[in-house]
Amino acid sequence: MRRNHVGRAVAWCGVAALVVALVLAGCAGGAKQPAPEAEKPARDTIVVALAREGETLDHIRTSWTTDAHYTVLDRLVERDYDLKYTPHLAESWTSSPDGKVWTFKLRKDVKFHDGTPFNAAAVKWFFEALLDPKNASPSASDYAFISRIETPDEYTVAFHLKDPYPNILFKLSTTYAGIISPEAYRKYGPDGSNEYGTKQMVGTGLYRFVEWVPGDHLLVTANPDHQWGPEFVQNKGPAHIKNIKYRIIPDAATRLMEFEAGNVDLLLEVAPQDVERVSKLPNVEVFRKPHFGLGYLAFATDKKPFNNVKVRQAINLAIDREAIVKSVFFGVASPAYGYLPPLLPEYVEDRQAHRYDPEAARKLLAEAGYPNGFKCNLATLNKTEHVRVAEAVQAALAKIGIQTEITQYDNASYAAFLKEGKQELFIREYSWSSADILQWFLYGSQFPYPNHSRWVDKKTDELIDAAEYAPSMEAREQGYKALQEYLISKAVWCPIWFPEKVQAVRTDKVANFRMHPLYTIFNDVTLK
Amino acid sequence: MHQYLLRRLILLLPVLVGVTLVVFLLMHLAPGDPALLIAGQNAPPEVYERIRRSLGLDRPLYEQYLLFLTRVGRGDLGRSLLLGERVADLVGQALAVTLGLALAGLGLSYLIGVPVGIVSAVRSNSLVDQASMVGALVFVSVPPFWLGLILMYVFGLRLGWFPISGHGSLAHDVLPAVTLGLGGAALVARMTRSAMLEVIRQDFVRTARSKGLAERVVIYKHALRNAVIPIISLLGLRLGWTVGGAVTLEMVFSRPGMGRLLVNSILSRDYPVVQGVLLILAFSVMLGNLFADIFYAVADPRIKYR
Repeated sequence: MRRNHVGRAVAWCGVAALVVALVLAGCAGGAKQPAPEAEKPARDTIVVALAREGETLDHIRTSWTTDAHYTVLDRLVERDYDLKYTPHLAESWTSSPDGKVWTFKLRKDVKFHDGTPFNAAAVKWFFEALLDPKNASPSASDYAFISRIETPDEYTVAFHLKDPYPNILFKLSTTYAGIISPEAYRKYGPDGSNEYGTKQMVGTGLYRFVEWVPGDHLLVTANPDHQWGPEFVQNKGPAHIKNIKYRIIPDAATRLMEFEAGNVDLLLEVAPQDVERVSKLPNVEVFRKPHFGLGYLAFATDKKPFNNVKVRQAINLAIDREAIVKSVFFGVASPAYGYLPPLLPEYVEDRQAHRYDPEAARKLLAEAGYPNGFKCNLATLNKTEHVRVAEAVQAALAKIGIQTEITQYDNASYAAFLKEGKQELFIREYSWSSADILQWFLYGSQFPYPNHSRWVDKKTDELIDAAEYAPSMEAREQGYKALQEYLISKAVWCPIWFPEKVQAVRTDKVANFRMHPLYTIFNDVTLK
Repeated sequence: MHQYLLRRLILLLPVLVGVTLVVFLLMHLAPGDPALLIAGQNAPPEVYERIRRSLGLDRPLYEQYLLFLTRVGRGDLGRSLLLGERVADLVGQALAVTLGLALAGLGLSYLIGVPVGIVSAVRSNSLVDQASMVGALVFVSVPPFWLGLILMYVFGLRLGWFPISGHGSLAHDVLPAVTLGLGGAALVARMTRSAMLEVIRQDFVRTARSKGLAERVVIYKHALRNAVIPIISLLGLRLGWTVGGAVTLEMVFSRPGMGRLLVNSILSRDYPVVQGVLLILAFSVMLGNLFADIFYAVADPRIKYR
């Protein structure tokens, strides 16, 4: 009897538990939308997983832009699949012989999503807003090369520069240069209802902003008036797919499961360790291309013993880059023999200076006065791959007698640590698609941060000035090549790996997708 | 009872001050100058200064704290630096999502844990007892985010019974609530079992049985009522833990709650929001403990006289 009572009670409690839990969870959920439909989107919507959403979509006020910025806003200049600069909202451009005035002729058939006409005044307003100290834009310093903007006629914009600056084309092609409707910003911006970036986002792009539910999704719908697709896409008119739903899924494992289940059609990034698994999934195509970035070991070059070029060269020879690429990145990266990503025209590589030769490394170390090596600190961000690289570097350096102790930091404390100048050896990775990244990290006036290699050198500054303010793109390319050769001869960094960009698409649902090295291009993509 | 409640509330005051102080200092001790982070590395000095002044960072630390305390006292948690929205509104929306999940998880953990604990105690050392205690050990040891991923894989991806992640319907809430509930249930079951074991061996239980009471009455009215105190005190501790667990699970299950708000605001250095989230999380733990104290007094009338 006793046992029966207890057993029955347990059974009832179990049932009650389930009912109560479901009811409680239901109350909690607020039951905003019917989910089963949301999970199985109609055929007119492509679902894209986003790892992180910005705090606002107003790119004047934030440095974090998402893929949606590329689809909702257009730029004067674009980069095609081979990264060549091509016209978009600007039909053509010329620069003055001294390289200090760049004149852009604008398209005349463009209007913003809110009906405001797109013209020279809108372009002038946008870049002046970026530069206005009142807006405290994090991108303002990127456009500080502009001294003033003139509009000789309704469809002509002239950028007057402080110095010659051919890299203006790069700056006008980034997501930070997406042109916002001035009318909409006046109405909804910080001086208006303050809804721009959360409830409003108005550009001239292929898609119009519909809604953003923070933490859940961002929805955009095709702009029926769009007739101004850039040269490198086939479909210049409105998008084939009616809606793009960006689902915000911060956890990588969850993103992968949703993709595998078919609830997500396009994965914008696949981690190196998942590439093999994703490649084996049915109805999935994986795209791989070198990414714009570099992972490297840096030195505090003003501190002993790293102020000695032989020590820096020895460390460069002690690292087996190929082994690191295989063991840490599962082959989804490539060994780095230079300071800039290989996709850039300015790229220079030196396999001799970055070969694996521990014997020569030991010899150089002895010549530098450290036959028995030394002890130092090795700092890294607490990101999994970076920590593994640090461990590989630690093992490699131990072989030539350098004993290191690894310290891990989160993002904010790593920046503070580097600013305070406490570093000795440290792992860094950058992502940037222009050669001026070398100016950012190694120019004298950037000391002590972001010049955390603490490399203050007159010759480097002269070479950077010559390249950065060269009158033409060709001269700039030559200038940056000379700079890299000089930097490699001084072993300022120890380059280790070039990351890869990996995306995956469900081929049972999506057709005509092509991976772009920088952005996601939807003009030609169709749904099956 | 009133006096007891009053005493508990007065005792909360120093804790409250302590919590606000810690939350306030955390933001000031954390590496990185918030004004510099907001203004950007290359901002002109006048922009940097303006941001510093607008944040009140140019004043002495104690003055900043007093200002913070008076604002919090008025229920004003400030405004988000980036969105300009009231922090109280942002936190309120997110709290609804998180608290709902936490309560569902907590409810599940008690509804599963207490009966399992009672059965284990009543049939101690039987196969049922051993199996449920091994199960409890497993669920106590497994980290919730991992359990969440496993449930997602089995019931979301393979069986397709529930949505894998997201928010918006009852079906979306089942997996995260069960994840949260199972870990808690394991602990509650173990606690209930040991409390019950202590009680059912005592004389008054034997007396109850010998005077011919039904076993159901013996277990639920006499034994359980006396074993309930440690189970209730666990509730206060669990509430805080469950809210914390819900916050981490939200990232795994992509739910727009406090966890998402906290991580996003940390990443974008929106420090009034970070402060607001931490403060509300701390308050909810304190409230949990207060409720546990009140339940305590209700369950055991002797407590309020101590």
